[in-house]
Amino acid sequence: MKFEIEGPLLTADKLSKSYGSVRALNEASFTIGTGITGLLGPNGSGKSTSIRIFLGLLKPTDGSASVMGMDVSDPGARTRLGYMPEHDCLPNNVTASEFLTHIAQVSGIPITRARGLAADTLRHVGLFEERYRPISTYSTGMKQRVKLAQALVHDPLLVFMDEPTAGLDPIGRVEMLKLIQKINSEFDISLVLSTHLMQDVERSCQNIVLLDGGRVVHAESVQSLTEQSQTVYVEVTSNRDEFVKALTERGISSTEDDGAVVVEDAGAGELDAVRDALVAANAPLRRLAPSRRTLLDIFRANAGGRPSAT
Amino acid sequence: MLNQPPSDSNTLAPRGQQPAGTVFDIGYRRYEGPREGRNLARRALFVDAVRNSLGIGRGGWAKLLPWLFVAPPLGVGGVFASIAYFTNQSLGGQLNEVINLPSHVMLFGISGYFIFLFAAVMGPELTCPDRRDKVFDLYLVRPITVSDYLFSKWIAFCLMLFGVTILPQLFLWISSLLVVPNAIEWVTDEWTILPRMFGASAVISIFATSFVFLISAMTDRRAIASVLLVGIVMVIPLILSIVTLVAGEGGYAPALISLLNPVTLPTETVVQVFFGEEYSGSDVLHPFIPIFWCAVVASAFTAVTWVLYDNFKNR
Repeated sequence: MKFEIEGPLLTADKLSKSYGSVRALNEASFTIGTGITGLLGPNGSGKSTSIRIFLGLLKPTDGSASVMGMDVSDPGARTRLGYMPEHDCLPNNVTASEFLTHIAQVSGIPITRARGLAADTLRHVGLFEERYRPISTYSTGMKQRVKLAQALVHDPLLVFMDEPTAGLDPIGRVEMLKLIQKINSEFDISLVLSTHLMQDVERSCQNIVLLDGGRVVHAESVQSLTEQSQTVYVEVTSNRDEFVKALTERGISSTEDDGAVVVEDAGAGELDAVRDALVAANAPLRRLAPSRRTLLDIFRANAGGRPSAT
Repeated sequence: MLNQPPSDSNTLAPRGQQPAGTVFDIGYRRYEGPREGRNLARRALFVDAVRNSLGIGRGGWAKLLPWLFVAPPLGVGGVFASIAYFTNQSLGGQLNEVINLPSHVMLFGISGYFIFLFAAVMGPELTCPDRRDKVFDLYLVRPITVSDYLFSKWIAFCLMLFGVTILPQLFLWISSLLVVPNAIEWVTDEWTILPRMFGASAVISIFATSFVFLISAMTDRRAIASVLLVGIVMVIPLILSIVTLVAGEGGYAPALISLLNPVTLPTETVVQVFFGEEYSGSDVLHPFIPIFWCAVVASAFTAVTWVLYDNFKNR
């Protein structure tokens, strides 16, 4: 059966969820389309609550949520969803192949096709050779791959990944991020990453939804969020003091940052002045680059002491 | 015509330099086949539950354990059938005049404890590890509900218990058939034994499954659930026996106490009702009451289990 999607994959409309007096989500409205989307926010911002509502594990107190046009209360909405939780979720006494075949069947795939899909998926995540070993004998990285494989085995259109690089060593983390990008670019599966690691998001995600205190702070593309600022970093190989003096003479104020000369609010006129000052000071240019806001800057600007929710 | 091998095909490369097999990455292929929805999911959970409780696809100990409890009641029935057949032959068809085979009610009483022990040891295996390993979360993000999950596992275990309960009875029934002079006449006269057997076995298996699933829902540790269940099976009848002694015979007290015993309520009281025999409290309780009470308790156990599982989902 072909599954054609029109419109966003996920829609939250004035979504609210309260746990007693704690409001984990407060009229959050956002949409998530295809591609890789990062779900960001400090602890208690409502990330996990949002994911659990979309997965049908929690009922919203107010508002509505839909997956591919279907209300989240409909079990059919989960037919093409995958979920890779942060916590351990694997049985120990079975092989990866056996587990994935079973999970594929629970997703509605007939047994004859489920075996093939399990083997294919384990090959894609790099566990083909080890597929007949009990999961209890796997390393942390291998278990993380099995967790990913169970989220992919029924060929979903969208996969939720909760802290996918948690507990991995640096090499394992890089490999997992490559795998995430491969899943999106080659398998054409969209992903929602919930993580605290800004580098992971900047490296992998095309869009982000930043939550804070249960409200949506930003919901846009990573590129537009980290757009270039008007600040310019200038590095010269010699005559730096002369260069700074020449800038001052042209009415340009500057500061220093880790050996570089930093010029704020550099418009077209200021950039011409920088060029002229370099020539006047006879300072060979090593690097001239605009600075960008990082997701960490944005996260820091929004994160504060917030009441925590589950 | 066969293709000719290359001219150097009979020259083997030195060990270690022989060409290795090549795995071609055919890339990711989208699944375009059927998706059969919740029915298939329920069936998969059902089959998995049966495999788990019988240790199929598991290690030797997991396979052996269930049979330690299944074998005695099956063995008792089988032994009766064998003795009846071979002895009857050697006695020239006069066995029924020499010995009396035990009644179905008596066999239910003997096998009841083994059935409950089997349920106590194997039942928690079906649900506790799913919650302990958090596989339960993975099930619920598939297109199934808590009810689908519980129903599949519940039915699987109940049917297995039904099999374990009814088989010894069938063996005994066959034994009786082998020793009577006229089998057809006996079956025609005593045909009601079969529906009584099936009815009583159904009540025992439904009650035991509800009981085991409730206790298993209270902990995610299989061993603790099993110990709790075995403890209840052993201790409660003991306590109730003492209370019965204190209360004295006759009147409402022993009758009501018999309704509180989770093992003898289905395996003795209800069975005696089914076979039209005297049961504990038969002088004061209408036969409908033990059966009704059994149904109420099993329904309550199942309802509480469902509520507990719905709460696990929302955690």
